[in-house]
Amino acid sequence: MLPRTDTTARWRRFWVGVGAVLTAVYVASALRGGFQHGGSPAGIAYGIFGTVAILVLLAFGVRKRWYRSTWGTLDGWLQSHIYLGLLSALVIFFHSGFRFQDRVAVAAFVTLGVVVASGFVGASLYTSVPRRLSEVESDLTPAELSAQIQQLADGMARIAGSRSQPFQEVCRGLLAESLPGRLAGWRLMLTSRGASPKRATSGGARGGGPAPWAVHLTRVPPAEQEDLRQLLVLSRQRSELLERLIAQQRYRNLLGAWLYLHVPLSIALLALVAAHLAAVFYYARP
Amino acid sequence: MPGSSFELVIVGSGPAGLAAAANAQANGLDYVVLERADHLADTVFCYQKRKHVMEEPMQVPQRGALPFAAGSRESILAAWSKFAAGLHIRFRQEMTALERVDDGFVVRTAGEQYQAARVVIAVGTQGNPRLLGVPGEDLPHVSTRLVDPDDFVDRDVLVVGAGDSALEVALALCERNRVGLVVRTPEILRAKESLERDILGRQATGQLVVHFSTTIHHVETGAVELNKPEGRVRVPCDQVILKLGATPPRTALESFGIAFAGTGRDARPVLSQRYESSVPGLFLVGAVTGRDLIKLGVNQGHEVVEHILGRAVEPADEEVLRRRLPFWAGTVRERIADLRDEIPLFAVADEELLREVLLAAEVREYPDGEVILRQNDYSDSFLVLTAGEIDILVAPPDAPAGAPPGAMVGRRVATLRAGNFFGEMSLISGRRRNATAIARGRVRLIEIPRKAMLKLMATDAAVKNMVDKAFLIRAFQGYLFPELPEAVLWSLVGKARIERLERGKTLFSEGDPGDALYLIRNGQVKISKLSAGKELVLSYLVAGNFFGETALLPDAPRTATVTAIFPTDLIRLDRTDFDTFLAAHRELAAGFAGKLEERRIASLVAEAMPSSGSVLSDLIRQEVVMGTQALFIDEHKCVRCGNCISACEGVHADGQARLSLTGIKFYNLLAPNSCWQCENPLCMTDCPPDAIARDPRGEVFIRSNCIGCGNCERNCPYGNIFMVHPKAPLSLFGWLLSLRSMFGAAAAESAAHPAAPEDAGRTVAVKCDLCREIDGGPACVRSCPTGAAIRLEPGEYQQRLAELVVRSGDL
Repeated sequence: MLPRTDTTARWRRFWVGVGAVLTAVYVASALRGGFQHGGSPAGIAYGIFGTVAILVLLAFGVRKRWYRSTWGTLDGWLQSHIYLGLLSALVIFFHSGFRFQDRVAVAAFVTLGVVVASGFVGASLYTSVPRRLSEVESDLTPAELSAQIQQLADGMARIAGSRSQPFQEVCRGLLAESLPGRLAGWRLMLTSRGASPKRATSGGARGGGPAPWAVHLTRVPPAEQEDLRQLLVLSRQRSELLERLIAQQRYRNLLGAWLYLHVPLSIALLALVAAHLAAVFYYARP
Repeated sequence: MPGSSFELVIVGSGPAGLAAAANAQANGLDYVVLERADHLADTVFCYQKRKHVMEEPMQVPQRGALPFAAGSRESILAAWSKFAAGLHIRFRQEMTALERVDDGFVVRTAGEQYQAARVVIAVGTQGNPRLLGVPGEDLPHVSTRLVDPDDFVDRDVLVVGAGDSALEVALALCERNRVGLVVRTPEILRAKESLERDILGRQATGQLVVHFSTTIHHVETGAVELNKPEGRVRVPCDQVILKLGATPPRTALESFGIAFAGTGRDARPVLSQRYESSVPGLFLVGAVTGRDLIKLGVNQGHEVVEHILGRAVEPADEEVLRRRLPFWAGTVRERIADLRDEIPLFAVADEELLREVLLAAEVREYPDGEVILRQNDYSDSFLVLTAGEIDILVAPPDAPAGAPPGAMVGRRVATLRAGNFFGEMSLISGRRRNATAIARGRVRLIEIPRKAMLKLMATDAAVKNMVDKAFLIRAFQGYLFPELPEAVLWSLVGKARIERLERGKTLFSEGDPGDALYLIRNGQVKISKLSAGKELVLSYLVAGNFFGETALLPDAPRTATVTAIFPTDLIRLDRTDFDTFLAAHRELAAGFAGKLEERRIASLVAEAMPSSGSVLSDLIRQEVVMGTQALFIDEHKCVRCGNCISACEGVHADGQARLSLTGIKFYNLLAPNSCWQCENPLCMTDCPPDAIARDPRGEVFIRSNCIGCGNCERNCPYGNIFMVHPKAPLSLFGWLLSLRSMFGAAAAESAAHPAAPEDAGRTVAVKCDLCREIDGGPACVRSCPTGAAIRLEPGEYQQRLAELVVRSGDL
């Protein structure tokens, strides 16, 4: 998980070791027939371990924003977060004794499963996407690309400003062709063409695609054709920059999108664990 | 109203003239101030709008009633204007002649004449601005100063000149106007390099046009005709700003009979301790005396009237200097005289300049065995030994870093005695200490801050010469002739001369005939060879290193090419001078030949391992090697979460990041824009309030007295200093507000980081200081979730980067 370095190997060894010990203890206990459910002493011990593990996992979000902290590096915290997350799912199995009856507990367990699975996906993306992203990244940052795209749009609007109505319609059409549309960021991740601007120079008027340059030129008065060529050049530059932006934004969105599932569900998990604990203590009263 | 005969005529209404007038008025003297302009203090008046004026030297108390405190040009002029309302000042009275008569002087102005028993000249050094002498330069749109860049928007402006002020004006205007810079020469020769770089960079991006080898033919309304190499060209022009310098007032002063000490450009008028010139009754105060700080001018103005009244007055810095020199007796003048007897360096220095240096200095005492400075520390003060002895030790290159003083690894290379000085290597080269100094017996020394010493060297050629010679002698002793006494080496170093090598220029190429040996005074060079048509970098050398020794052998061609990576000062010794020296000291020839052989073998080894230079070559080409703590980001690990930047913002009280994820890329490594803590930080070279400092561990940091002048930002070759509007620290409430920006609330950011009202419009410089004030090291590295951010020192570059770099072919 994550690039193989000395740090990752150390954490992996540590957590695999902890997982092996906990599994061995559970198996030994189960073989002796002494461990039936979460309310048993061993089940409670696993429950406490699991609860503490979940709190530590959630503490990662705090540590990430606690910039002055000297409690280890965030790199080490993320490694622990990943392996402790996997381990917590295992421990909760042991805690339940593989008996799933309480609805709150089951809901918490399912949520934990989704959180761990989304985290696993996130870790996989963290491992594979940066390399691909660096291949498509240019020297310009997304902010710089956006600024240049906007400058070109402003330039197009300036050229069209005092021209005829058909000229302005062409300009509006070219600008609209490049609009990303609703939820473009999400669509982008599913297909690289999801929010790709349609080339003003490709396709044809037939079939509803963007019109080629020649078609645009016939729509404006001859005196404005030279200006229109200038406009079309800017439009082409804008489209190409947009494609470069989209290419890297796709990977950037992939790196961030899974957190929209992982983080809210982690908070929901905390609430469900609290509810589970409250219920356990309530019903455990003599 | 006084008549035209006065006890005292004061020429000039700058700070010195106003202070003299205030004291004259307080003492009931019959005086008048003659000001050639129609306003007070023309020099300060001509400063750019809102320029910050400093109150220096801080250690010296201010005398007299004239108000002066650090602040904006406007606030200072307003305070002086209010104060001067009660003084006798006559405007538009330019002194055209000064004649000595039996009972005093006659001062002539256009249409008026004033008789005076005594005259105080406080005219400053601005003199008369130079003009072009072409038709049309008297038109209203031709000026010699820029008051406020904001007055110019969307206009055609021509700036004429190639000095610092011309370039500054062009830069101030070019973002909102169409600016042309008219330069008489084929290149910009006498401006600061940072300004020149900025100008040429903006020319490359089309923000302004530089007309090289061009003069003005004539000016007319709305246009200017230029004499360009290709012929006469007419260009549109709404405003012409002439920045051609000024005619210094020396000629005028000499015509009054005032003698100067020397013929050089920097020679100053001969004055008594009472500021009286060689013409009895004629006094000079202020910048015209060579001391151009406003506070010193104010004090001189006050004191000169005290002298005229026959009162004994101690210099304003007397008390401070007495405290600075506690181990000597008598007046400060007597104490300095004693110091000059003891210390040859001080003996050659100008006394007034020495007073300024000592104001900033500290006298320190050390017991026997105490470490005074440690090899590889980044301290950069200059030390003058006044009592006791000091052992200088040099550790071998492979000695463990940070060895305790008691277990100091190194051999003694010299023992310095009272009267000697040390620290010149770090002072000149800006590099870390190259030796350890340990007190032998009880030691007393004077520690002079770097900036004060550099200023002394810049203004006093005798001091500079002596320090440079010592630098060279000690470099020779350390490298070629360890046991040779200084006295023997003097004959050799006397032949040395300094050469400047501009960035990117080649000093000599492989195969060229060799005729000289070089020592790098400051800067950095690259030593390379051609191998199979490709450049192979053998090494890079920083200040304090020699090169070119092999060429000292008869008929030996250069074995490698030497190119400057940064602007570099070299000390050159010709082969003929060296041969003469070795002929006179034949016993040295064998050791010298051995050194040459060592260098030749090292060169052959590097050649035999072509891969050894490859990563280094990349780094030098990308200019990373200057850094001592460079931040790198492995883009194959970076998940672009931006937590490094958030951490940087979070740990600094002003909420500003010192890091931007743009910068130099090589393969998968990004060297982002974040300070590299250069070994020789160019940002420190021109900081007016001396706000940029370096601590002994190497961190370069900016103190809170930054005035926001932007010099450091311009001087940084890498764009790693950022001018920012200070933000209030991010509170929890602010953080919650900032979350709104996720949902498009445009005002959320400004609400989260409200600018303090007093800071509105003000910018300050910020740069990475390696989070020196918090535990645990740089927050960017500690807050990277994937370990993509790393900090490397030069010693780690080669190995770690070779491990990290994934070349494009490997992808």
